[in-house]
Amino acid sequence: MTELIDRYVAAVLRAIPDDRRSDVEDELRAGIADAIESLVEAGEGAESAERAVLTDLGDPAGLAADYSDRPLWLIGPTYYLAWLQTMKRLAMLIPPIVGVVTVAIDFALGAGLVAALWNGLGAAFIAALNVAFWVTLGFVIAERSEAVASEKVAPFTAWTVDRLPTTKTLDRQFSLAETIGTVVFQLVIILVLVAEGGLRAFLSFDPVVESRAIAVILGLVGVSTVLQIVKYRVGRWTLGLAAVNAALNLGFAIWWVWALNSGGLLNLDFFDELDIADWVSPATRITTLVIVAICTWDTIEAFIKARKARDL
Amino acid sequence: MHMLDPALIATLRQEIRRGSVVILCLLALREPGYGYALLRTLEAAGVATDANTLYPLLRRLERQGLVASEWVTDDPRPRKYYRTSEAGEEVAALLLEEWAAIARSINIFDEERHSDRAD
Repeated sequence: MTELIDRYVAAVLRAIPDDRRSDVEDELRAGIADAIESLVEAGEGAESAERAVLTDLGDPAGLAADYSDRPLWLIGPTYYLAWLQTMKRLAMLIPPIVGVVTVAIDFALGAGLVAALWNGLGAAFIAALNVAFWVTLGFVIAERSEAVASEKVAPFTAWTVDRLPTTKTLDRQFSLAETIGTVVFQLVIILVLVAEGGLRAFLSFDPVVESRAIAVILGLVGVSTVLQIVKYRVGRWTLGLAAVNAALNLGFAIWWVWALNSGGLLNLDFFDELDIADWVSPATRITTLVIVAICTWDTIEAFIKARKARDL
Repeated sequence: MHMLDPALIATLRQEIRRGSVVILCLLALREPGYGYALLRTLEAAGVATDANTLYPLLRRLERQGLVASEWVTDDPRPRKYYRTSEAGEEVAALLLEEWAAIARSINIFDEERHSDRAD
């Protein structure tokens, strides 16, 4: 009958420092016995009284944590904001760098472009996991360390009004993460285009047409990358930037419509081999429509946002 | 009148009560008592507290020097008796003042409301 009590007490004591253990044990046993006794006196069966009392005391791990003043959370309110901020900054910074560097190194060492891109993606992912794990672990330790909790070691200075973001940063229409993401994506596209044979598998250009077509799209992507950086520095769409964006979109749309419909772009042998040649024509038409729609919407959106930013 | 969410009310009540447990213990333990007896005393006084809150709290108060403890082996089973220390008395006095001040402030607003209604 007392087996449950023994197990309960043992489970609590396991997580309590040695020097307090026997004292806690004696008091806990006395408390449990008192509580059961009074239930039994009130007419409860011995076994159900025992169960009721232990259930009431709750999870032994929680009781033990309470006895030894251990927090029941990984990162509490003291450190949560600092953790979140550190996490955002590092997650935005480190994985893209690791990814790009990996692609560059692999590519320089002679790996195929596709393989290099995959490796870069994998490396960025693993970097992100590492950032998340180590940053969190650091804060979990800080949360539990009395040295950090005391004012002696203050890793994070207190918040002051000087830290308020300027209204200029708040009004930003683009986040740094968004900009970095787009720029990295465009750099990858440029890499693919520059890499010889990168598109050969499913594209079939006349060599002369190909070099011109690639030069044009490279130019467009290059200008678009510059636009991303400029508009991030400006912080919002202006009518001028929106006009440049419109011109770029027109360029992209014309290039794609031409490339998809002139018959020069797609390597039909490639699709024949995949046995999806019948799909190529409708798919081309749908793709054309989608591309035109995206370019149109992107142009309009930039103008709308430019006007909104001017009205503010 | 709209429906009150019972869970919300329970949480709000609990928040107020949580602040009162320490002062209740310090006042109740002017008479030495052991854990389970204190639980029953508080329950009888209408301020029931969970056992898994009270036992760790008593140890914390002991570590902070606000209560003193002594094992008594005369009882049917050995029990740890706690008693409010001198420092505990001082702290209890300060907390009582605080409690009274809060009650006064609350009453000021409550009376204003009543007189508003009377107008």
